[in-house]
Amino acid sequence: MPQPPPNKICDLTTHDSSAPLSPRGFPQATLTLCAWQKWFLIGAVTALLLWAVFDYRSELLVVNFILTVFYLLTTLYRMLIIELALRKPREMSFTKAEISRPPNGKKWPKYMVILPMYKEGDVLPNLIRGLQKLDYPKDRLEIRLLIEEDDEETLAVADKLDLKPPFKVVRIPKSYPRTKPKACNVGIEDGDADYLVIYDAEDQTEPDQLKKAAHAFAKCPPNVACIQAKLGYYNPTFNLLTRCFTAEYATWFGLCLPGLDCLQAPIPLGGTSNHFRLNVLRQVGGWDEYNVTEDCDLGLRLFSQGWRTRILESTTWEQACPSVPYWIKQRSRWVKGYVQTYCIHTRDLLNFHRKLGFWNSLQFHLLIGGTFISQLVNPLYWIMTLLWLFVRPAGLDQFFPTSIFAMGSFCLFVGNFIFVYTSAIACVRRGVGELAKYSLLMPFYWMMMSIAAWKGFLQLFSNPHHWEKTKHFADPNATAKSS
Amino acid sequence: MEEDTEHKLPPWTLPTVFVVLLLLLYLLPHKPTEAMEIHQAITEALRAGNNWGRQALVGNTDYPALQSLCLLVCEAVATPIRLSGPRLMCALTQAWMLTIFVRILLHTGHLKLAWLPILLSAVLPVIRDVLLSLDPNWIAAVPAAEILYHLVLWKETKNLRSMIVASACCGILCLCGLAGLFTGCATAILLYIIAKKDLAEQGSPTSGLRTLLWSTAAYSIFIWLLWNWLVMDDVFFGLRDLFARLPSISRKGFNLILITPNPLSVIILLFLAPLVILCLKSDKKEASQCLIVQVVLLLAVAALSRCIQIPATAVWPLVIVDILSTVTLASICTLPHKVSRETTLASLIIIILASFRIASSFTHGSIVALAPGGLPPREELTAFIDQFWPQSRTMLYGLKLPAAYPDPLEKRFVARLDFQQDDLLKQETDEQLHILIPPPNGKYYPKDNSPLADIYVNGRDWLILEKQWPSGCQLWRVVPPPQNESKLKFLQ
Repeated sequence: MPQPPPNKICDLTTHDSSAPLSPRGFPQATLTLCAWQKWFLIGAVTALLLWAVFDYRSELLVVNFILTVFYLLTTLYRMLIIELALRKPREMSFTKAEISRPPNGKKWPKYMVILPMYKEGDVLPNLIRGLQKLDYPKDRLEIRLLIEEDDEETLAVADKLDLKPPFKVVRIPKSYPRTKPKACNVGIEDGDADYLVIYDAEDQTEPDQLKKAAHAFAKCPPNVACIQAKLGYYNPTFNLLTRCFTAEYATWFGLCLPGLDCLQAPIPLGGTSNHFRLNVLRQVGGWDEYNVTEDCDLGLRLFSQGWRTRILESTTWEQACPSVPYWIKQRSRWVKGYVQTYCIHTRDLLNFHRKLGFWNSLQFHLLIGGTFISQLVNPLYWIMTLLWLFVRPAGLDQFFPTSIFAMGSFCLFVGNFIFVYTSAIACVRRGVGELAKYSLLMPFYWMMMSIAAWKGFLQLFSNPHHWEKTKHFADPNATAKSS
Repeated sequence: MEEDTEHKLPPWTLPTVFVVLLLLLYLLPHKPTEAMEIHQAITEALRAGNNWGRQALVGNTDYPALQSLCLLVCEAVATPIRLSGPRLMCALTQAWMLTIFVRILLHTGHLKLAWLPILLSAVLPVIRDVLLSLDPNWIAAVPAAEILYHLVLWKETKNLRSMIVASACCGILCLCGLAGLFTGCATAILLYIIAKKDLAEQGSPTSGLRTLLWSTAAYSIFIWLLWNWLVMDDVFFGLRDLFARLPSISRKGFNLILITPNPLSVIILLFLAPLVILCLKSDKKEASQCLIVQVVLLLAVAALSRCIQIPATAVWPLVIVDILSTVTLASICTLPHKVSRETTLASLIIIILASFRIASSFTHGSIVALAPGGLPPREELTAFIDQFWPQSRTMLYGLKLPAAYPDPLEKRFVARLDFQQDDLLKQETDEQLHILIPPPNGKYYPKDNSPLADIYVNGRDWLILEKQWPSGCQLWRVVPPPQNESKLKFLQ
């Protein structure tokens, strides 16, 4: 008979670890590149340099061909995902009548809500007010505020609020690494619940989300370990950045994730509103404390161990970062985390591919690898496109023979439009149709994404575990949309 | 009560229908058209990396880019397996279009009527004749038919996807020439009106719909203009020929052409009647409204094309789609009790048969036009030039003329889409050149507002007329005189 997973899933340590494997057995982001990855990278760079010395023309031609094929595949994959999301939406949705009673007519399952916080005292009162609206039996609910023990500011506000059950303040002892996933791992150690959900400090969730998630778990086969609710922004019209950010989120949560759900593909989890079966979460070892996109990593780890994620038709409203510098910091962390996650999961490449199979592996490469590679490479192609449009330098044609030119033109004229158009579709479908016209500005937003991607990529080598914390602004005018 | 027969049938039903139709249509003895010859010349030039190929791909409205690009793809697929690219393209597009109509009928539960579009296409002379034309413009029929299918789906499900796909089809139509452009834009506007009304009735939000449903058509127009700028350095180059021809239209002439009986107008006008009935009385009135607008626009575009002597690009395939759409809508619609669908369908078939009896008295010259006549044969032309100027190459301007003398490697003929005097004189300093200019009858270039028409009549001081054929074609030799020594100027 299998042993129940231990509650304790992490150690409180006084120093950062350098072990490539977590104490719970999974590869962790302490190591950015393993030995073969390092040698492969060195070999590839050396080969490219040598090739450039001897015959840079043929090298550029081949590199251009590979990148163009990559862009074409990414575009076709995006088209497939969007088509599936539109054709046969698979999100789990429930009516008010359905969620009026516990699933299977039994008691409501025990739910744990965790909220990792760090120096966010100013948003705490709002957060508590929002959480008090959660429509879930209070005797079956526990809301844990995970606050670092040296975060006196937040602790003081929490003390002042004099929180009563189901709220519980969990002081996270000082230990290393000092990251959000570490706090989460510590925070769930002694909990007793069937399901767990993680929210961010500025989240304003739909009150019935927990009930919907409980019903979703009851309806799903037992191999579904996670239910991802959709995320949206409650301040979309604050400025141009928040408009574009909202359009991007609408595309990701409104079209891409449902499309991935249809394909039963590996789903990189969003930062919050991930509902888990608590025992499964403990069994897979919780979050990677060194990974700066621990959510993405966990989603892929669950998938590679045979667990599945489904998408729930319920929205958690967050705050879109309205400041360009903070946005770039946040985005650079995401890209850094995607690179980390990609490297971690490809450490044992053959075994990983064997576990996932060809199609799922390809999707992993296109989704995780494709995201950061395209963001890093895009500026090169934008410059080439601008040169082609306005300067038309002699000699550029030789790197675009007919086949590459045809694929490249398709990506330029059709692919880019599809990416822009899907944002418009997502805005209309997500009920923020007034932002559809701002989708036309997405190419400028992509430029910012590339800047952030390069920042994150370079930081991966200089400061791989640095956590660029998302700044949450206490905006008094921001109000959550009613569900 | 309509039922979804499509999903009750085995999943391979529609693919099988498509493949069978594809094989049958491929094997039919198609008649070549002028449009196919010109598009083939363009694709041949593109493959050879010829500059005229790039110019011709984007710089005109008569032989649109989408047709050439699809032909290019079909040729790339067909050639290695020893098939004919043009025939494959026609068969693919026609089979796809017919399968869409079969799908509509199956989807709406009319299993017994599913053969109707295929039967009509095989039996009725005009549809059959047009189907037998090897015309790249058949590509326009696919998005047009898809629009109808998605409008039918929208009526049932109100799923936004239907409107998005229909709008994407409008965008594709906009790249299919003038007829496609007008019908695509008009349909995109109608889609917005229909979607907004239906969603408002449901109480669903409608904001952003306009951006969503119009941006595809707008983008198609934008990229076509962008391509013109990229290749021709002139955003509106593709419209210049059209603009140059427009002043020659008089309202009287246009009206005369509009009311002069011809197969197209007879068929279109006859089909307006059942469409109006469908539009007013049936439950498929939205689709009927779109068809009415399309039919009227096609009539106008056909008249305009005849008026300004340009080919009615994609008009016939779109008319065939509209005929089949009308029959399909009549088959699937629900009418008030007093008028049964069977009665409507029977009367429609009578109208169709009657219309084709009338139409059969006309020649179908506009459908299948052969290669341009009146031009000197290639051998005769080169032999004449070789008598005295064996190294000379002949400049050909426009679309049809270079297509009549295809020479992608530019050994004897140099093709250009537009006449640029400075470039020509610059090139003349390196080599001896001739220019072939057909008579200014509007076939090869606009009668008025065209430098070629002016050269034909007045010549230039740097050109010597070497020969004029009985058909009116002139062969000029380029001879720039030294400064201030022009004999022509002196005489003038």
